[in-house]
Amino acid sequence: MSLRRFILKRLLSIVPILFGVSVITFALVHLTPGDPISQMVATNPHVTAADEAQMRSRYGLDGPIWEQYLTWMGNVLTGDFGEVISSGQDVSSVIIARLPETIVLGLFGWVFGLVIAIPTGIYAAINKDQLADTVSRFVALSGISIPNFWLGLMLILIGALWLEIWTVLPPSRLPLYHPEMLFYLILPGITIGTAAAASIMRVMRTSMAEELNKEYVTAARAKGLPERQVILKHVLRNSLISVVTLAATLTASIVAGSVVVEMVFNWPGLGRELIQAINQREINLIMAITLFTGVFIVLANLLADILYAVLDPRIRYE
Amino acid sequence: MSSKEHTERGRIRITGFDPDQVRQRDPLSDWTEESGGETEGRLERAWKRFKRNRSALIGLLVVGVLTLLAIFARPISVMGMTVQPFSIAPYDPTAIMYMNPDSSAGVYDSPSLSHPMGTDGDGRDLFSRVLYGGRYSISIGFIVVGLSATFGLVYGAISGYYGGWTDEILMRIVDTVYAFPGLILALIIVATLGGGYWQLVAAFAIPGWITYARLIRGEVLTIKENEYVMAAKALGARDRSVIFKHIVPNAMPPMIVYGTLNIGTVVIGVAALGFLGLGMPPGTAEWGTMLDQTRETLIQGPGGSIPWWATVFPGGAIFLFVMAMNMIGDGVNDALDAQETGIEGQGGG
Amino acid sequence: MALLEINDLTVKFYTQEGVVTAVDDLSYRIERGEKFGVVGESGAGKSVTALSLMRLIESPGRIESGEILFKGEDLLAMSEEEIRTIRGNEIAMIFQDAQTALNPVYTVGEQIAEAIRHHLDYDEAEARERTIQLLDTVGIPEAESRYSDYPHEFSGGMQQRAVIAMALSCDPDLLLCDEPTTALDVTIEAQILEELEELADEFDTAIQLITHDLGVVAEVCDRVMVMYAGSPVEKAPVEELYYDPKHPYTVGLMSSIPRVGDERERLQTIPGTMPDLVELPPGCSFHPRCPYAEDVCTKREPPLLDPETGRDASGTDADRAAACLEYTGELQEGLDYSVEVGDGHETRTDATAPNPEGERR
Repeated sequence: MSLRRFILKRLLSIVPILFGVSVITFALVHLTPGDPISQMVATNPHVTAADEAQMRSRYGLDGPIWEQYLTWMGNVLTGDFGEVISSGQDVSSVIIARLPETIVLGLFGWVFGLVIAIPTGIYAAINKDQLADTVSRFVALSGISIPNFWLGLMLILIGALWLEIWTVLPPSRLPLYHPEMLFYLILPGITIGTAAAASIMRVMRTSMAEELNKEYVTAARAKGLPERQVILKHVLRNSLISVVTLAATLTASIVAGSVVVEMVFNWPGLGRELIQAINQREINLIMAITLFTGVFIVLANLLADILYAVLDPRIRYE
Repeated sequence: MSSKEHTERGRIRITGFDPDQVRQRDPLSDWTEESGGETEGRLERAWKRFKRNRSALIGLLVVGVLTLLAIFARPISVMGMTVQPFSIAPYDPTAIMYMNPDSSAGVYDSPSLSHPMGTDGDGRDLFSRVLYGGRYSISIGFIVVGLSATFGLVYGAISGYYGGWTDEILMRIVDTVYAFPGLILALIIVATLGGGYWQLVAAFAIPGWITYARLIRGEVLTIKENEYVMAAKALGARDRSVIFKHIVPNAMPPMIVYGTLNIGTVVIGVAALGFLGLGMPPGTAEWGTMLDQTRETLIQGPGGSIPWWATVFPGGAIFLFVMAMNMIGDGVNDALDAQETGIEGQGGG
Repeated sequence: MALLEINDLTVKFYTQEGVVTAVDDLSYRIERGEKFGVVGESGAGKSVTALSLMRLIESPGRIESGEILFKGEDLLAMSEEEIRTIRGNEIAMIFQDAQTALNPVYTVGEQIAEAIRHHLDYDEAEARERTIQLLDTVGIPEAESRYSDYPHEFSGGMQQRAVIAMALSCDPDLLLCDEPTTALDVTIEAQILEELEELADEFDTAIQLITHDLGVVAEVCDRVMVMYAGSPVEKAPVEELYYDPKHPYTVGLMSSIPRVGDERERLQTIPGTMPDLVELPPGCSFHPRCPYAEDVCTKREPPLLDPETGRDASGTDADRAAACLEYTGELQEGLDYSVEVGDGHETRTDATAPNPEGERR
């Protein structure tokens, strides 16, 4: 099967999953007793029962569950995610405003992770069981064991106590593309990237060490090829296959991580938005962000599958 | 089509090489076929390897110590009876120091002899709180993993074994849930159910089983194709016994490895929710919740002194525990996974 | 001067179970264009020998001592760079399992061409041309389109041919074949062997054929060396080996071959198994399984001797040698077996038994 058909088949298969994602998003949030309206009612004595009913119908919060779901889905597919009840803003505009921040943060973390992890992993595998390997394995193990929010807090702490850097949190009025933002990006970026780097490094090392034991490596050396070619051409491509699979899972972790890290650093992204929405019971916003997350991860997994097929021709035959 | 010419033609037959003579005679020397090395069971071998792994043993030790500290931090009473009378923690985790006339401690005191980890923002002894806090994290970690692993095992085994439509549907469900990061699902569940101990358990157990299900299903599929399963069935073994005798023991190793790593992830997740204020009620001596309280202190700007101990110690406890769990997990992985490559693997043939 | 001369090669593996002497004091030679067979059961050290020739032994293995003279130069004394110019170029290896020897993520053509580009300095187009020719020569149909196919798109036999093509790509002087047909079924095996022979004759390549299959050896080889537990136990030209074997192990191997019309009721094997190389039996390694073993066999390790004269034959020029105490005259009862050829006449009896009274049993 050619690559194109493989991609098409995969694209088709994610449709039911995307559907499922929307159902779960909706179901999760609607298990909650209460919604913004009831919260407003609870805190605001001037709201009458009639007002409540009116707001309910205006925001479509009355009617049976499945009807609400269909209404919501229908709107979503046309790009309408509803309103933020407390501020009246369009949910979509909030998302558009916050999404780039999170993407930038995630991307930074990702790139940071890959750039550090792949060479380190290769080096460790080649020097297996020697000092460099043992040290890097220990460091990687620490990297995946450290809670990311604590790492962030510690980085802030170190910055404040030792380096006397007092402002690490971005002022809210700076737009994203302002060069100064780069400075504020570094700490949260490193925080997110560390766990990713640690995971990738471990997998890279294990994968490569396994491949190095295989017969085709001996065969390649028996052909008299220079060692660099054996490693970088023959072994690396086979080793990267596991890394690609991991990278897909990592997207989910990075997304989850950004929620917490954005709170630590007060980074104005979707993660922070989500927490605030939860605290204020903003159902539309919660659903929209969750839906986005689900869709994004499904697409990332798809991309990983495709990349895997590009790297390993055997897969295209499934 | 050989280019050789045989000087003698015809078949060759050897007579006189009699193996019975070898079998019936007394051994000529002490050497026996067993002297080369005993065959030991896989589990035995794995355990030996595990014991040799220093970092895994250290991890085991640390987890053991932390668990014991958590249990013996303060007395435990079940239904009125004191089950555990010891109290390693010098103070009650909820006792506010400056309310006690005997104590001279205040809010955010730095570490000292009477308060080895200092006091927190409400004047409570941090050391006691950190010791006690282990109870939440460690217990939730093990309970959640126990629940998710069990459910995931059954789910995955059924899906993998029966295959067909059952498998398709069950796995589609898994794929869908898989699209969400565990933490986010836990977040929303906790937002739905509210904070608290069992809510946290639910929040992590409900999404947590899917990886186990996938693992087991994968193993089941692989082993199903394996010839010895087909052989067993050909000999008439029943489905259930086939599953238990052959499939489960083989599928255990990756489950165990993932389980140990999973405990670490759950502990971090619980702490993360605590840090976000969505876990245990504020003021609880849970490691993550303790960090939530101190967050504002970090953003004071020059002039204020930052109580670093309030951030370092609770977080450090999480780090220590998770690191130890991961070391154990790695050790188990190495022990169960590694094939002994003897001479056979070295091309000694 | 012989093409390849191995003197006193010893290779050890330092494993957790102990030190394994995979190859112990091995010496032999191969002439240009000759086909040399190395026979033995699994675990005898045959593959290790081949890997040592290319200096591909990795830790925990180590080449302890000895010299490997290829065209007069000691391979063990060369630098990494020098040996790389020899690998694939003057000495090439054909691996037992073609499927694992090929890298699954690159096309077969590319894997052959890269050696050509590296050693012969061809550019891409030339290397491709030559590769296609090679694929054709080894009997792969539609070579041009098969160039861009991946290993998993080839059948087992085709994969093996591709690996042969890979080995022959730079016109090596010596071809090391490690059980090249073990993984194939019998009809394909016959074809491959035939082609190997033809190619070797055509390009004047020497072959070291490693196998456990006596039938293959009889078909292809000029001279043979039998190995047991890391040491050579018999060396002979192929006909002498079959019609006049001198070592009990060789005898045992050959008597294990079932014959149609045999009167024996059970399949005969050599009793016992090859010892674990970590702990070898004292004296002669074969004595626990040898029907003719006597007490003296547990005391001394028999050196390679000329069966006619009883003199030492461990050097590389000895063409006929067997490692059995029988040939020092030390065995009381002698080796009591006989070899019959088709029409019933015997080519060998226990005529060398020094004690004429001792008919065993």
